[in-house]
Amino acid sequence: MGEAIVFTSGKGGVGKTTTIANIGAGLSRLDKKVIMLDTDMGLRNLDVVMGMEDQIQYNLIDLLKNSCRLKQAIIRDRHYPQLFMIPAALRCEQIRDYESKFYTLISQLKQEFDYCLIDCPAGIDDGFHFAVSAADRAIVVTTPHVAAVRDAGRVLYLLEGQRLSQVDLLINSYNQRMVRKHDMLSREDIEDILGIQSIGAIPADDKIVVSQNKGVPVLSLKAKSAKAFMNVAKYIARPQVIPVNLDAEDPCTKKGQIYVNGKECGYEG
Amino acid sequence: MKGKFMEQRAEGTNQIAKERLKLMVEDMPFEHSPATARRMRKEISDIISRYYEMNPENYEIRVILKQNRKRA
Repeated sequence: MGEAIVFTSGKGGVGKTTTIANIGAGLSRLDKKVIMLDTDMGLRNLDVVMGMEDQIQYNLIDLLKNSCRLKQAIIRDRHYPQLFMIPAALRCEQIRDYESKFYTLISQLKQEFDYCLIDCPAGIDDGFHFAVSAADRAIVVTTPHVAAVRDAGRVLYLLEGQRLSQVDLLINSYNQRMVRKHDMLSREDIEDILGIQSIGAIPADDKIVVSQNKGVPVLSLKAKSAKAFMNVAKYIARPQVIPVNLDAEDPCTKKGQIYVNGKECGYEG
Repeated sequence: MKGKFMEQRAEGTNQIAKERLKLMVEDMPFEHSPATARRMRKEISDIISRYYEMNPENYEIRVILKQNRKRA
């Protein structure tokens, strides 16, 4: 039985889609069978980030309307054979009408896949509630910007009312140099404000743009954020064995750019 | 002069951000998540039905927080 994880943030542009694409690729590298579902109707982006935009025939709404079979809507990634995606529709009214069907679909997918990663639209209205409705757990993505942190706080608060087994916080676009100059909220600052431990801080990385130009996950390139994404994927797959001290593994961490620690284990390990 | 400069460095703009955010987050508990509000209304409704023989459709429960009034 798989697990459905929704990636949400409140604010747009914090990197939900990038995170999903890379964690999806990361999990499939760990030999997990992964499916990513884009629920950002109208503004679908996951297909573009994954370089799958030319393979779309049917979308999530077609599937929920029974206009196509499951096999027809699922697209397999070219580079990661264990990674699949269902794209969002370009238009959809009254998305909450499909909530129960979406729940059934996710339950069905969980039989076949180890992880269903749900890409949530920005905002906290219908699209948000739809995306969260079928999830078992949530990962709230934020950046060290005040607006993103405030919105993450709102979303964490709203998620309290949902039946989720676990809610995690992930910080994206982290600039260690600015943090050292006291000009950016540190990971500890954000954890303190929101009252929740984070599962990682992904360094800001120009390679993200390069990878999206090519339509491949940044994991496929030699990039500093790739290691951090991979570590988050490892945490999701095996939270109990996540290496806490990463210094020996990666030269990047010597500069203090990548941090990953599990909730259960502190810095001491 | 040097001391003052150092003091400014130590402060940094992240402290300003942190203080502002702490105030914003503290404000939040006054707003209810929809689920909490529903639960609270249910409880109040239970109390009312203990004292009055009245159908829940015949009255309305509305909670107005004085602190929020200024913003509303």
